[in-house]
Amino acid sequence: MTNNAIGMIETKGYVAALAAADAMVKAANVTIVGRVEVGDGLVAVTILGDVGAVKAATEAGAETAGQVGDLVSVHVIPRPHAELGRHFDTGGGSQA
Amino acid sequence: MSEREPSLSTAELRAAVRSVLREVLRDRLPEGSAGGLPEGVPGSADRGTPAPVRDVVLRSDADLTAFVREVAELAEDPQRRAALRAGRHGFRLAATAGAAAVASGVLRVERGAVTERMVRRAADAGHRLVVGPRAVLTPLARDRARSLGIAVEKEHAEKED
Repeated sequence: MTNNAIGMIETKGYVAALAAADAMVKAANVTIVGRVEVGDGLVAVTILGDVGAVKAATEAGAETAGQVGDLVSVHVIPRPHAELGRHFDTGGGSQA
Repeated sequence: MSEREPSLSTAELRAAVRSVLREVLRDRLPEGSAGGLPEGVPGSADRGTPAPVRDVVLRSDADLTAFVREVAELAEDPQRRAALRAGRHGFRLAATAGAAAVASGVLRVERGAVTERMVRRAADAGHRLVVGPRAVLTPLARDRARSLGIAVEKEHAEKED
């Protein structure tokens, strides 16, 4: 699998993040590479995969998160720069 | 008989539409053709080409009346009538509930995700899309909005801290 895109979903609350993560991996061929809790109830889930798969996955995940709890943000970075991997936990996605 | 039903379920609406349709079609069909297709209609020839599915909004009695009138007009055409009778003319109840609200050509989403499906629905209906401060536009929805050329307006929260 070529991991050339990063997808991120941030929710307020753990349950919405968990539901979003489940929806994402079920919707497309992507892998979850990180879960970050930055405080204030914010939980971000990061995924890796092809650009199309990541976009489809974040679509499904965002819809689920919005239904279950509070969706804060959704973003996809196609072809992330290698420099990202040195400072952020992107699961090696930016090395490709 | 009550003048106005406070809330009809989907099944009740379907049953009502079906019974009205049956009456209208029976009136308009010639005698003896109730069991099969009317003569002169190539029943098997156009079987493989299903008509496009139309979204129907049924929120009030007026909507229902308008829909029945439209179907009655469809039934004037023998070919369309055959398609209606065979169930090849598709109708779908348009979703009217949820976090999205339509008012005067503007589809407004207050919270949750604005998905690609919503963008497509707004484009089909010719609506403008307004994304509230707490709603989030997904990347796929943004791509779709750009390719369809529909305007997406993002409303920002008033207070900042």
